[in-house]
Amino acid sequence: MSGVMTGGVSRSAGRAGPALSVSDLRVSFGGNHVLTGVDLDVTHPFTGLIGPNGAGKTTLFNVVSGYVTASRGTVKLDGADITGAPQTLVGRSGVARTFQTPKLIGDLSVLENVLLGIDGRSSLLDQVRQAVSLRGRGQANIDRALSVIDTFSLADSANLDAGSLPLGSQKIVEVCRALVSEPSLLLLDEPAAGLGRDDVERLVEPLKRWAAGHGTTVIIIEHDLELVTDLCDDVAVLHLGHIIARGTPAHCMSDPQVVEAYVGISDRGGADGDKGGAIGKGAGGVNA
Amino acid sequence: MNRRLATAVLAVALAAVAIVLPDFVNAYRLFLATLIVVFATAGVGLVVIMGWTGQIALAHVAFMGIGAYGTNWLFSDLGVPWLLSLLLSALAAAVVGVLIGFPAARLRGFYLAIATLAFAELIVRFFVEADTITGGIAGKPIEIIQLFGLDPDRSQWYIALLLAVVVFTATDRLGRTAFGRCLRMVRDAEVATGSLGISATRYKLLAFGLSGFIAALAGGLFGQLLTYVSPDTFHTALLIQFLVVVFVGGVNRLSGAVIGAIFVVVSRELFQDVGDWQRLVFGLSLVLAVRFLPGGLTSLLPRLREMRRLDRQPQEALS
Amino acid sequence: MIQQVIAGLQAGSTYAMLALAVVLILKATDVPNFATADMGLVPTFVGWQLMDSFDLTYWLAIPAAILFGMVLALVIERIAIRPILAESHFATVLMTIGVFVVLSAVIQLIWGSEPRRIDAPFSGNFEVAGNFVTYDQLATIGLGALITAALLWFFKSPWGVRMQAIAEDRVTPRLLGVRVDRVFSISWALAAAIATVAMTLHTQSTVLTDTAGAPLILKAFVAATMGGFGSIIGAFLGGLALGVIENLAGFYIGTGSRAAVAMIFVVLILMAKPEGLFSKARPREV
Repeated sequence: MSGVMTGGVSRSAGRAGPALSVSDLRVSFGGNHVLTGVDLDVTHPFTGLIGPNGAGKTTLFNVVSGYVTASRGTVKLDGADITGAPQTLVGRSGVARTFQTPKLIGDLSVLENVLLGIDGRSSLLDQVRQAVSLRGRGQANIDRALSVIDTFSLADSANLDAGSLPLGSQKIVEVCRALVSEPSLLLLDEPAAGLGRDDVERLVEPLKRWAAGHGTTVIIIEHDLELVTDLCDDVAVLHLGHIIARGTPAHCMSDPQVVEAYVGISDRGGADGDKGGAIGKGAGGVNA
Repeated sequence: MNRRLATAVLAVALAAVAIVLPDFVNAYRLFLATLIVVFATAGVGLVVIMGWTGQIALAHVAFMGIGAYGTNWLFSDLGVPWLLSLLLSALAAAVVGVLIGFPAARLRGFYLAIATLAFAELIVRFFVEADTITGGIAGKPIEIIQLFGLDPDRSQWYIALLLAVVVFTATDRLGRTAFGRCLRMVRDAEVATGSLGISATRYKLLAFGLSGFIAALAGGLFGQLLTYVSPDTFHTALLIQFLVVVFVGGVNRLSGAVIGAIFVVVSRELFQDVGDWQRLVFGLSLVLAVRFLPGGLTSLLPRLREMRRLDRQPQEALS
Repeated sequence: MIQQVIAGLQAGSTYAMLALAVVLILKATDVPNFATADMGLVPTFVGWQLMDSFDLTYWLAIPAAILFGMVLALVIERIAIRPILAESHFATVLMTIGVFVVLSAVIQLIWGSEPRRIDAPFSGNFEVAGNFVTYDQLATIGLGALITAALLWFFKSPWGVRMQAIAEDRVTPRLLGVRVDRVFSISWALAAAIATVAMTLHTQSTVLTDTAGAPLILKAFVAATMGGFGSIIGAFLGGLALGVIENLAGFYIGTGSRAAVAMIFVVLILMAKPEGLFSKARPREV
């Protein structure tokens, strides 16, 4: 693990080499082979990761963020090898993520929840200094947090308990928490799940602006294919543990292999999908 | 600005009452008041480890024992000044807390409860076996200290107050910092801590150490109040009383420790002559508290507020 | 030394039976029941009372006690446990601790603290390979093994499988029409019956007091921990091992070490394998 960088460094869009590079990644749980050799280079600002349920998408996120150890393969973050690095190290190296259901603290305020995104990434010395001082040091972090919250138009809710907010807002808070440390790589796990059109807009528009302004690379796992088409210029389709298609959304969704993968699942599951032709929204997509 | 002024006035008023209290109540009532303060202080430790960090740590009263025995041994047998003895024992308890934290950090739920109970048993067993320090099973009398020549009950009251003020304010401050937030993250979203660069294990260890430290501070004072301790003092009966403090008071907030302490000390008093009923009362309190008010009495207000809010906007309020 | 081992097996069988009761309730209702030992102790006192005041013979009083224990368990499960099943593990643990305190307080209030004897028709002993085994010991060890076998068979049976499915997923079986509450009640009643047998055997060979429950429940949990809380065999072997090691330690090292043994045991196990020695670890879900 050489050259692992500290988080919070903004990058310009023209970086050399892929932001994330995964090579021959394999993961098994017992006899269950979840990832069967994934090769993926992420270069675009917004990359979609789609595929039928059980394809291994969240597992891929888990490997990258250090929650799961791969049995084989490498993970490189901006060229630096982070394979097998523990979660905390990965978290401090400029990788941030969200979860399928928001992992917030209900009885802390929105502001405090977002501050946790900075808390973990500051050094112990910083934290001690912050604790002992009466004001001043803590203010800078609060301002940073508030600025992110404001970007997502949640400034009015900054002092409300996170648990009192509806799901859409909670998901946004979790994204704010992920962004406040200015990560170079953001992993979003089904951000639109359970949300209506309006909520998705509230999340996506500011996110686009942020990513553009900070040069963040965003990878999104989604079942909402309309969102993927709208947001991502690059898509990878994961099926049965490996990538079966790569390219623009239009290209992937008209790829016969991909269609078959989705239709195959819909046939079994009984969900209605478009058969023969491109895949529309919702085919094979069961929200978590 | 108004709120601040009101709080300041209230604080000054309370301080005034506290200072003159010994002149207005008899020695026994003062003893009870001091006991409430000591219980509340010990309760703060439980707020930190159970309320904020979410760990079912049942070794708390054993740490109080370390405080009581340790302080007395250093002071009475070795002649170390009392305050220093108290601090050193609290430090020792913090170290033991961190040591317990190492295996405990890997456990959850009732596995953790059992492990901490087992550690508590071991510590009590140590109290029994190390009879040169602790007087063994028979126990040991505690040497009373006197503050500036005041009589013992008064000086204990003032010391307890001072300790409580320090512990409460320091812990409250700590709770509002990154440390406090990280503890709560360990409680509510441990699975996501790593992704934020937060080491759940580190914070659990710190919480175990801190709660042990606080418990021992309170324990040192507890010893003073009881004037005699034995290993059994820090065993099941006291643990149950502190569980009542936690569950009747509510352990998410510091105020819960105060309310719980009042409830337990008053109950101890009321049922003192009918000791067997005391146990029943505590058991029923636990059962009823868990059944009807799992967050304790201090959760009552927020709960009512929450229910009223949910009534107003049923669709939006999703958690 | 064999003598010590036999005595250890006897004590261990008691721990094992209580551990089995704990595991049973855990497997069936996902509740770690700290009140298990006292749920067996109250009926034991009732049994003693029946023998003492009503002159019932042992063979009538003890089954009656077991029946009482089962009813008591049903009541406890219905009014104290079922309403809070939706709450966290924290809450259920504390509830069972509360129930334990209430039960032990009730025992103290009704019967006081003086020790009593149960006149069991198990006197006498026989000799096997130069060592003495009392009929009491034989009964305890035998019943322990019998109950273990019965439980093993039970969990392989359709009833048992259903029970486990319900504990792991409370929603689906309900949708399939399984009477979940009935399963809960039956498992609690069964566990109480086992606990009553265990406490009766234990107190008749030692002494019947109000404080007999507390030390035993901890040891039951230690034994259950060895089995990873999910394994019947694990709990059984764990209990026996605990009893034997405890006795040998007491004999060779000193009586003070006995209590420490169990505690060090459980700490070591939990450190080595937080899920217990016999369980199958499930992959973490994120």
